[in-house]
Amino acid sequence: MHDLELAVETVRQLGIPCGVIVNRAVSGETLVHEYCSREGIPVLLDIPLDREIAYLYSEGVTLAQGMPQWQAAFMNVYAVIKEALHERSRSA
Amino acid sequence: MKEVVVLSGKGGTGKTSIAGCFAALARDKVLADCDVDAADLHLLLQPIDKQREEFWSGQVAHIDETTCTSCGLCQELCRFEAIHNFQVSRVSCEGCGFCARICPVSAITMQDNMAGHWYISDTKYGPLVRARLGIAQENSGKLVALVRQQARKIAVDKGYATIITDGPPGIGCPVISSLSGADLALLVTEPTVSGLHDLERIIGVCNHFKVPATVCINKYDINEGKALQIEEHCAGIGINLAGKIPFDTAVNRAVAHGVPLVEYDDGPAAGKIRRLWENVDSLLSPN
Repeated sequence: MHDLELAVETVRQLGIPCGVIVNRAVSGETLVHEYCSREGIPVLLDIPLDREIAYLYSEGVTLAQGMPQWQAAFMNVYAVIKEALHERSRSA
Repeated sequence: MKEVVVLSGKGGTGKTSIAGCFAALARDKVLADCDVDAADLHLLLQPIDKQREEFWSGQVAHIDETTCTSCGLCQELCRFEAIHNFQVSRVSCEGCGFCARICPVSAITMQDNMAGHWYISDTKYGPLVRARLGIAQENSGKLVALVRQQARKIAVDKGYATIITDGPPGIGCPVISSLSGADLALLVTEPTVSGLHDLERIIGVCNHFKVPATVCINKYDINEGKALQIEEHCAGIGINLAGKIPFDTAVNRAVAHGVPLVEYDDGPAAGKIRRLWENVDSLLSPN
């Protein structure tokens, strides 16, 4: 959380828009979400703290490969980022 | 006086959680947080700041508006594209001083740059030295050296036997600065492909600077096969294993509560970290 604030300060100083992916999210833990809504930063995805996900990573397997049910979520993040980039280049 | 620096090569392996536990377990020690880009140890130790100092490093160009004739030469020639509308961007300026040299009316001067702060604080576990580098500032290696120097001074003044240093991630300049001249490096890794890869790299750095290293595998039971591979790798190159810590969600809960794990509960991970400290302590003072 503390490091996220530093990262947000940095990208803002550089004038780069940002979104957040919460990794190892613990259910019921709302600190990051509250901060993001306060700051107007979109939360693109929550990836839970989960042993199976940790195991896949340890073997060097991406989440989208190892658990195909995650593919749609990542495609959605990709679409949102792509749209944001388009909007930015239109307004520039 | 002996200094152990906790390093990992890779971020997010549990360095700060372990250093925070050592803070609670060790006797007569000074704590130093050398991750000056994103210091986090204070979040576990709840310090009360006693002293706050400015860290000055490098220079930035400054344009005197009254002298500037808006000729545009500096904007045209700055290879970092740091000057727009006769204003210097503090983020882009590298401090090279070229613009100050070529300005036909000498409107540009180079000014010292305040790059961050460092603090001496009291915690319930002992004195803590830490720093905060400004956003988009450089020279974290120099600030790391300063933090360690202050920690040593306190240890000498108080006659403390141990310095526990929480190091930065990676293998670059600030890591080298936090490692050189230390008595022992505790390398925290995890049983993943990237964990092993980054461990090999940080071991290389330790060897180069002739700092003895010992290894701890965090969350070893996430992938026992990979953990074994790391153990075998270490045994093969003569590096001893100081401990193995199981995956335990209490670690995350302790961080969320802002306390070292060993003060939060006495579960499986906490027990292993106590053993780990005993091993590290005996490596630091072999008699």
